[in-house]
Formats: sequence, structure tokens, C-alpha cells
Amino acid sequence: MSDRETTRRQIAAAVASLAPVRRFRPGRLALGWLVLGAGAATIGMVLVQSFRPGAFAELLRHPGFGAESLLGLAAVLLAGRAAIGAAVPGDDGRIPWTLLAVGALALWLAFLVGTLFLPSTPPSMAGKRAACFVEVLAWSVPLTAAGLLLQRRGFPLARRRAGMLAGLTAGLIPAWLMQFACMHDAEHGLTHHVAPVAAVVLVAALVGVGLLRSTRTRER
Amino acid sequence: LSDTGDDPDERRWAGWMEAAQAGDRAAYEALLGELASVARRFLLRRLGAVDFVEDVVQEVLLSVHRGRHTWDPRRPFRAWFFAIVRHRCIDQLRRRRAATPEGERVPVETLAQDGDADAMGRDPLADGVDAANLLARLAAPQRRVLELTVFQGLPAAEAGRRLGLSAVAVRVRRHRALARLRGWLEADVRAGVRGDRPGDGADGHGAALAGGELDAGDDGPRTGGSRAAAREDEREEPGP
Repeated sequence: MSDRETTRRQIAAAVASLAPVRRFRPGRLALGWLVLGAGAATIGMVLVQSFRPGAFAELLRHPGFGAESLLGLAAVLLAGRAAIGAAVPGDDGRIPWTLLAVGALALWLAFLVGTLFLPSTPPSMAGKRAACFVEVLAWSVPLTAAGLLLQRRGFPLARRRAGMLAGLTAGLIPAWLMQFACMHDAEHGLTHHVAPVAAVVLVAALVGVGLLRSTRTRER
Repeated sequence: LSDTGDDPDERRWAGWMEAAQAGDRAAYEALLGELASVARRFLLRRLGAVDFVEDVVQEVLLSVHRGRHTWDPRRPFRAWFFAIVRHRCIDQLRRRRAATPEGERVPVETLAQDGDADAMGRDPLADGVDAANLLARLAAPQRRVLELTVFQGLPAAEAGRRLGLSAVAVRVRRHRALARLRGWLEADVRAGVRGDRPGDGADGHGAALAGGELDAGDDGPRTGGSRAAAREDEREEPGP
């Protein structure tokens, strides 16, 4: 049988097995993942230990902390959208979500590094948690799993990149929340809240390559 | 709903895909038939008449089928489709080194130049398209590494022995060559999504993105839009 004949048979088989599908909507799914994920992580963190007293009031009292938090939030949202979009072929075409997410993350990190020299809040140990580093890792595990499962509902072509983005988002959510839940200090934030995200990204990339190998077309 | 602009191929594909997502088999058959031709032409232009073009076409069609629920009618179909083509092409190049058994090794020189075209399943209508293929654009050392490791299926150590390089250097060179190919394919796809035509883009490699059919009388009747695209391609085909 010639190659062309095989292709024709393949088309005939695909047509014969055609069923209506439910569309994969990356925007909605990403929003759901981020909102529910952040909500669940917040509840979990509060159950371990309450958030830093006056953390949210500091947003208004210290504009630098407000700006830093907004940048972090932008990085989380954009990374989440890029992660779910990674399960759609060509999703980065018109709006480069990954580039935007990396840009926002770079700005956030630059801001945090800047606060090493110009602190956005007065130095304080208030709210310090016993194991914030481990907590960031722990909360990122279910968030990564949820992200990868959502990606499996799409059709990720670059599995490693998709996994990395899922891990990045899943790590950034608790890392960002920890800026409110734990003591606020630039060095502590970078080493104990943000640094674990790198490990999550690496693990998610490895898991993603395997887990995203098979995907399911969602038929109605 | 779809952002189709003035592109008749885009409008037609988007319409068919939307119908296929709702379960319309006739539209789906027409779509897959046309996409197979478009993908084949795209690959022939960029890779030359290599022996695995039809394998990639089949992988592309399988991916279109399995990922059809991820296309959103509000987004361009072309970007979605060519992202699949590009990835499947690079996947195939990556896999070939390990997958090519000893008995099936075919020297790339034979495939990329004249040789026995029909025996290799080469489409006579594609003559001349490989004059500007992407492999030919690679720097000679990178192309040589791809020829030995990807097309002839030699292990990195053996390829390195022939080239006077270490196995690690061969792997690094192969990785860079594939990355460069990926970049070019990406640039082609982006040019096509913007609607650029050959001569407008950086290197005139956007031609196949205009669509068009290579196999008249082979894959069924042409649609009006494809006839127009084919005519356009005939005009733009590079000379000998």
C-alpha cells in the first residue's frame, strides 16, 4: 500500500469516527484554575497559620508593596493563561502569553531584588512562618497536578514547555500568597518564597513530558 | 466569528472545521483532504523530497483529529494548523535517528536531488520545490550532521568518527540544526499567518502557506479556493 493510500485511509477512518466535540476554552479554564487554586491554597495556608497581621493594609500604606504585589499578581495571571494556552496549538500566535508572563515575572523579580536595597516595607519579622519554603512546595503540588490535568484536556504540542508553565503558575500562586502570609523581607521572600518555584518548574517539566503524552479529545 | 480577513482558504478551512466540531462528516472529509495536500506541499518545499514527508502528513492529520476541540472559531485556523505541522515536522526529524533501521537508510543526497523520484513517492508536480528547501539553507557542517544522524540514522559516535568530531559535538550540532529549522518553520508560519506572500517575507518561504494543491486527480476534486491558490503557487514557484 502506498503512503498516499495510507493517508487516504487515515482520512476515511478519521471521518468515520468523527463525533461532535466540546471546545477547549483556555481563558475560562485558566481563570477557574487560578481562582480555585489560589482559594484552596489560601485556605490551606490559613489552616496552618494565619496570614501576617496587617498584611493587606500594607498594600495601601506602602505603595511600593502594593506595586510589588500587583506585579506578582500579573505574573501569576499571565503564567496561568500561558500554561493553559500551551495546550492549544498556536495559542501564542496573536497574543504572546508566554512572553508576557516571563516579562511580568522578570519585572516582579527585579522589583524584589530592588527592595533588597530600598525596602518597600519597614524590616520586620512579624508573621514569620515556621516552614514557608516547604509550604510553597507543598501547595504547589496539587496546583501543578490540577494544571497538568487541565492541559491534558487540550492538545499540548510542546509538552515540556507546557509542564514548565504549569509548574511556574503552580509555584507562583503560593509564592505570591506567601508574601502576605509570611514575614515581608526582600531576601527572605526571594530565598524562601520565590526560590522553591524553580524546583517546581523543573519537576513539572519532567512530569509534564510523561503525563501530557496522551490527551483526550472531549466529545460531547 | 472567525478572524478570516480576506483569505479565502482561511474562511473555507474555518467554516469546515467549525462544522466538523459539530459533527459534520462531509465538511471534515473536505477539510482533511485539503489539509493533507497543503501540509504535503509545505513540507516538500521546506525539506525537499525526503522519504518521510508522507509520515509527517499522516501525523499532522492525526493531530488535527485528536486536537480538533482546541481550535476556537474566533482565532485564525491557519495559526492553529501550521503550529501542528511545524511541531510534527520537528518531532519526526528528532525521532528519525533512533527509528531508522539499518536496511532503510537512504542517503539524503539521493533524496534531495534528482534520483529516482517516483520510486521514492516523490510528487512529480513538486519538481523544483526543493531548490529552496530549509536543509539547503543550513550551514554545511550542520547539514552534514543532520544528513548522517537524521537521514542516514547513524549513531552520534559513528557520525562523529566520519566528521572528525566527538559524539557530544555531533549532538550539539544536531540540536542547533534542529533549533534553526524550528526557527525557520516558525518564521514561515508567522509570515503565513500575517498573510505575507513570497517576496514579502524575509526569504520568500511563505509560498506554501498560500495553500494550493499538488495532487490534482489524486485527492479528489479541487475547490474553487484551492484552484486559485494553486494558480497563485504556480506563478510563484521558484525557477530551476
